[in-house]
Amino acid sequence: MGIDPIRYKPWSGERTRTRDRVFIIAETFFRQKLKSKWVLVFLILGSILVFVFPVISNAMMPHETLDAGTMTLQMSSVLFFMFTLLLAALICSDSIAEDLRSNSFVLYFSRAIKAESYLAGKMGGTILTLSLFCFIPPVLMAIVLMGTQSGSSYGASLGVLGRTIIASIVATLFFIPFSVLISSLTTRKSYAAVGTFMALFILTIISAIFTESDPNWRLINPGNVLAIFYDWLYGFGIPGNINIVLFSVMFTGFTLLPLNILYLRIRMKAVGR
Amino acid sequence: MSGPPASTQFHPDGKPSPLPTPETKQSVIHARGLSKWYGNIIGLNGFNVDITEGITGIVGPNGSGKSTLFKLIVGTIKSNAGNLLVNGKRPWGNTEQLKDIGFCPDYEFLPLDMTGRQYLQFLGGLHAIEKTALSQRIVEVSGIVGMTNELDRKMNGYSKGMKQRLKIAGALLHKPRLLLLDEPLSGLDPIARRDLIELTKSLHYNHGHNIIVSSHILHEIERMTHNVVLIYKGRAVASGEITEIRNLIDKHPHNIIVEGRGVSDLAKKLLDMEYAVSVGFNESRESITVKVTRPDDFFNTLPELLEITDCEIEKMYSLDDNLESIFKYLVGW
Repeated sequence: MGIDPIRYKPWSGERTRTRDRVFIIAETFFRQKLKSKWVLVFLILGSILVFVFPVISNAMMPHETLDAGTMTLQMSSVLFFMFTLLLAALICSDSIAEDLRSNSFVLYFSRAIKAESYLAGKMGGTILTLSLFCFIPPVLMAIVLMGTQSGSSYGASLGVLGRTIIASIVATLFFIPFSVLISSLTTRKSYAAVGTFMALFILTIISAIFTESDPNWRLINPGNVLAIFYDWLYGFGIPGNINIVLFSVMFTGFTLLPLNILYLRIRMKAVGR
Repeated sequence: MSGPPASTQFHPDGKPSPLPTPETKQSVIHARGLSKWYGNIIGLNGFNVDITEGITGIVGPNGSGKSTLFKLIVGTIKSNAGNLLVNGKRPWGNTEQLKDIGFCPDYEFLPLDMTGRQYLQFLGGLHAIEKTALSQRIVEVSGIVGMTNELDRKMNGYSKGMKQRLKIAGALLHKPRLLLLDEPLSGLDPIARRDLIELTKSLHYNHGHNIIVSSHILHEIERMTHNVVLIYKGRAVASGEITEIRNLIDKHPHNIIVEGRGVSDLAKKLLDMEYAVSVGFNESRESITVKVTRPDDFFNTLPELLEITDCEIEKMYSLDDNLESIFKYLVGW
């Protein structure tokens, strides 16, 4: 077999820049999401309903400092929770499901990419997109309220701003592992979106039914888990009738547990058995 | 019957003797006792093969284990038994190895809402190729696969052949030493097939990639390479020069159907021929099945026999032209 002349020259560039690979997966996902009509509709509508009106009303009301109570109320509001849930379901729905449907796993895993990088890229894309609602607007709101405060105690306001940044990061990250896990269970993004929303919404209903018998049933509701976390973060403490261990278990159950299952699933599904 | 030619390895038991490898050629794939099963289904079963540099065709009917072999080479699945070395390294769990492998699967996976260029840019990003180098490489690979003018169109407007070319461009982007093309010709029209066959040859002869290409159609592979591995029910049943494998096949009895007026006279004459094992009538008196040991001799003497018997043949075909029959011959069924 004549192989003369061979003009083959292997690629001599850097092949181990894992961060770049993760970034390109995240960036592509983010760009695709910004082209989605429904994501844009919910982002704009949610931002107006959840943030624009409260920012205007709070900024116009006389306030000496950026108040932790105001930000706690804002972050714990039912409207913020519902829009976060809706957007998480919408954004994460096709993160894995679409790759399963189109056999795109091979696109990633026949290249020098590990399951961890793939997952990090996908999660990165969802985090970037969801941060447009869960991170940027609350932080902007805190900055605006700080800018319009009448008092001179900026140190206290900065403390609340710092806590708001942490609260916003948690709000952004909280629903993503669960939503992406649901996406990895189906090849239909509509099933993934409805599945995510309904699963978490049903938990809120169950919680509402049983809370009267035992206040700890509140922890079944992810919205309540987040609200209790915000109370603690802004310095109001965890309510006395709530079991702290149970709270920690539920917080982990909504975040780290789905993340681990998701990782194992991706390894099994894509990297091989 | 004499044994198989020296350069062709016929291994019905799945145990080949070592291939005589020219010193200049390095081993690309080395598999010994490679097995992969999915529950009760066997993908590969004691698979043994040595593939050296160049173009190698993997030929086998659907479900014979071709795609399983590719997945094992790429390392997306783990073998249940046996050893596999790709470019001298084990592929399972070795993602670094994938920098030297370009895989073009047989199924559709292209994100159709992207343009060809966006797709290649995305893939380049997955390989962490620096932006300027990537732009140059995209121009280069799109030229190689003949897609330069189509790059800025959305892929949902591509024909099947164009999608196939872009998939190959994606597999080529990171300049892999080994290119795996899984059934690249399936579903293509004859012109696209011809073009892709030429492209595959060019990728090796002009660009130096080692290529393993699979198909279930022997003559398509024959147009790309003379070096084949025949795979059947998860085993490599023969490997080597395609012409020698064909000769090997020709040494086995062939069933040939002959239809036409006066075939009964032809049947009588055929019974006197040394190469004819049996002659039988089919449902119609105008159709016979001839079993011959040497098909070449049969076809050479047929015109003379037709002249003697005054037989007029309307149709003649071999029952054994399909790949399944070839494999049955090779495994001795």
